[in-house]
Amino acid sequence: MKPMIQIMVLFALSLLGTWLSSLIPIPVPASVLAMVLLFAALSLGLLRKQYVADTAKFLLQHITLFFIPFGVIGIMQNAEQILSFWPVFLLICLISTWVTFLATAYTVAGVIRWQERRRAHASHD
Amino acid sequence: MQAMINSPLFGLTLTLVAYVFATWLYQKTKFILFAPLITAVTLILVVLQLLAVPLETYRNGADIISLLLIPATASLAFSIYQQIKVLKAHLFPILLGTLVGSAVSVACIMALAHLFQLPQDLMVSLLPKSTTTAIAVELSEAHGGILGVTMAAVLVTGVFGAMFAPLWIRIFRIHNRVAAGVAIGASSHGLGTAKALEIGELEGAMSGLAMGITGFFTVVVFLLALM
Repeated sequence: MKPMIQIMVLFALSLLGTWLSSLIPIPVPASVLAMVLLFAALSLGLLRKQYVADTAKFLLQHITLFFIPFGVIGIMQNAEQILSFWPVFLLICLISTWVTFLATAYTVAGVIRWQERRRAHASHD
Repeated sequence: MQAMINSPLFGLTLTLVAYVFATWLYQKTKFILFAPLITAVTLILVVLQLLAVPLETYRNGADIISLLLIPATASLAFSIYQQIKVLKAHLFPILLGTLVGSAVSVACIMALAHLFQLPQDLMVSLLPKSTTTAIAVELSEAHGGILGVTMAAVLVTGVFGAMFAPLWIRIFRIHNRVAAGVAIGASSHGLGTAKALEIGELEGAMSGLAMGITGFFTVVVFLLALM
């Protein structure tokens, strides 16, 4: 029964997220809202970990699978447009992913270092 | 044969077979260009061409799999919850990092699109590419982007992120595991997060968290950038 309960909980939250997404005037995807709902339910103690744990881990482990249809549909629908500029397309994707990665990593690491230094400094005073 | 192809089970089974085979191939070879998503999508495209199956027929079954992206993305909340202590300890750096990441991503794409003189609709299609598919597609459609180009850009970005993140972590000496995880999630959404989970549970959770927050910040940055 346990796996069924977990699937039920995750599907119900997804459905709730879909419903909320249709209510909000700005485009916030159902999946993000479902994520917020699950996080709130866990943090507030409304839902215990064991009611989602194994299924959540299983879905995360295979998240690549759920992207496959998007890839197939995207390529089949707009193959011509993509092919018309594919070298530039790949280059922009690679450069911007790399720049974003570095900017984020250095910001996070820098702020953590700064906080640690300040804390160390404060304890010296 | 036709009855088989017309059943929703066809798209469903074909996608699963492609995924299982692609995952097996990648685990056997560990070859970077055999990233499961690339192999699986290619395989399905070939089969659909060979059997002359229209896209709509494939979607009968495939849409069921796409639907599962919602509970799968929601499940990230579980892995974030597992790491709540780290999250609380580093809330400010994580928020600032994802905000910078979202802004840099949009700015970088705008600059490159300008450099290569891309038309407006292609640029808009690329802008939300560092967010998860669901967010990217909604943003692109709302601002006149091309759906297929956005989907392809999101996927290619995810594949690049998953492929190169371990290398970038080494070359650019990202020793802080929280920073590495957040950077993966902010730059390459769910596909990057799958890789981050392989690197470590902490990296995976931070990546998942960053992906969620990045989605939110990108919505904001997008509105500002296009104003």
